[in-house]
Amino acid sequence: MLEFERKAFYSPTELARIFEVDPSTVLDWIHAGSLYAVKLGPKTYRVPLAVVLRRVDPAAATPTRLQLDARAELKADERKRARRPVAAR
Amino acid sequence: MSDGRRIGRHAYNQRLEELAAAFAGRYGRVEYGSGLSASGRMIKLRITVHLPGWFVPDEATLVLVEKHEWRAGAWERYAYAYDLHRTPRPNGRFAYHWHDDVFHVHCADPREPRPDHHYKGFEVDDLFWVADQLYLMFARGIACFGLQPLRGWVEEAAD
Repeated sequence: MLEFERKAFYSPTELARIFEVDPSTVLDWIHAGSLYAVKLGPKTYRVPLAVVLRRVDPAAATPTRLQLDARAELKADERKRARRPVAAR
Repeated sequence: MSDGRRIGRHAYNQRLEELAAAFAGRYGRVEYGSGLSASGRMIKLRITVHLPGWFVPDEATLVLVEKHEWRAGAWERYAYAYDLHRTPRPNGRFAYHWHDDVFHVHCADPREPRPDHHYKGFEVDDLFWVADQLYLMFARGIACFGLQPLRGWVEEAAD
């Protein structure tokens, strides 16, 4: 499992450690525009946590909407509730 | 955000989206959805959170289910099932349930298997509270200590 400390921003060196690549690779990603980073100075970049999470697992950062078929289950509930006395509802 | 006990049609959909977005950044990968009955009078909401959900196969899943009935111009909650399942199943479970008018807790500790895993429960209103409780149970390990067995009630249908 890819374990890393959750923090607001990461330096390219920290990210290189997380992804087990050379720091120059992370800088290449940033310069190529494939990894968003905030530029604080001529050679100083910081990458937000949300960007790291999306890079690690895009699915993890975005909830997936599924179609839920609950018709049979809800039909059984409807029948069950129709049998109940009104006062008990 | 509404607690979901009684909620309008638009607010229902809005709440579902807000819950999914909130859980996505909090614990792990999230799947969510809702489904209507054929009559359109009942609706079921389900949010599944995979823990830890980042890279490895899940160690646990949070499954949060609510059911509502359309009554007097609003969706009225009539049942819920907020579950923590350690994976692979069955490997421990803790859950807060309400159905058939009975608030109860399910607790199955694999270290201490018991024939009945139903315990006395209480009404849960806050989905975030229950998610936090279940997440703590996941982190600390499932334990049934201190729960009072629920006697004299047999669950009608499987969960």
